[in-house]
Amino acid sequence: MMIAEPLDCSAVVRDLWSYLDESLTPERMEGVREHLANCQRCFPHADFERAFLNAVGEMRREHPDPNALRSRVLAALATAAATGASRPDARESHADDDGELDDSASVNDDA
Amino acid sequence: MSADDARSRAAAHEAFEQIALPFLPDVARFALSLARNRDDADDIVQETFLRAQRSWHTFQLDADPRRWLFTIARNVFLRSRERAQRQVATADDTELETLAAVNLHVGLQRDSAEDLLTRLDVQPALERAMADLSPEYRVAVALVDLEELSYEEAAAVAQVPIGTIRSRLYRGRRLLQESLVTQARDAGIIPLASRSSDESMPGISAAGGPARPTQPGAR
Repeated sequence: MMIAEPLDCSAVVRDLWSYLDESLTPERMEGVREHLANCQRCFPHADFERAFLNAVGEMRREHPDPNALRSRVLAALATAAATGASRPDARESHADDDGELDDSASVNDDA
Repeated sequence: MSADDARSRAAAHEAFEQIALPFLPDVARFALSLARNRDDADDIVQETFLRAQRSWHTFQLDADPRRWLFTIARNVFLRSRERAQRQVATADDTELETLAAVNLHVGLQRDSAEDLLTRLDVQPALERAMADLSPEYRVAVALVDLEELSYEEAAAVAQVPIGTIRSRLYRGRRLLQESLVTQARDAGIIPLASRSSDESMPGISAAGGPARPTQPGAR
């Protein structure tokens, strides 16, 4: 079994957000975790960044009146359907300024 | 319009309502993260579903409807903002952003750092900071930190490479932190003084930014 070389403080702080987002390789995650557990200089930074990200996450809020919004959207969709604005051939007029169709949603291609 | 056309359109409309509309609360939440006020957010949601309905024939049934709708919402949001104001970070400065954020923390006395998130009324302060972010940074923060998408998912929604979404996310986070510090100083919650250079983290300059390599390839 290969033993990873211990990480220094500089390497750890560079990886801090990636670590908190759990987006490092398992080996790197373990290296950073081990360093933070033993480093009095780095741990407060990680603690602060974690608290900061938690605070940012708490900005997430639900719509206060989803039923009213749903009614509004359904009415708009019905109007669009009645006037023909929702027909597929109508979307050409909604091309992005740079010619890219913003509704094409390329996520379909790599989903 | 023939009877077949009418049946086909009715079936498409029904499928749209069954598959896309249940994600309206998700789109509304994402729009609130982007617009930061309800009227603008509601406009984004309505326009998103109108565009989605128009483009429904392009949607592949095995795709993720939420991601598809987020992409459209993101495009609607960006369209509503001045393109000229977009600041786009490059993909290779993510480490510098992380370092700069840590350096900002180093620059605060330990007690002040705690004050930043405890004594400052942090949610309104973050709301203000978020509203000041450039649209692309706001999209990245909203997708990853609020909607909890992975880097890969957020990159797909934003239609950019993963390195770009990471860079925008980190820049956005750092700008949020800088704004919090500024607001806390303005409110007299934390002092103006910063730590001396011998307390800086390795690889981080004490002057307010990450230590940059002095020679090519030194990083």
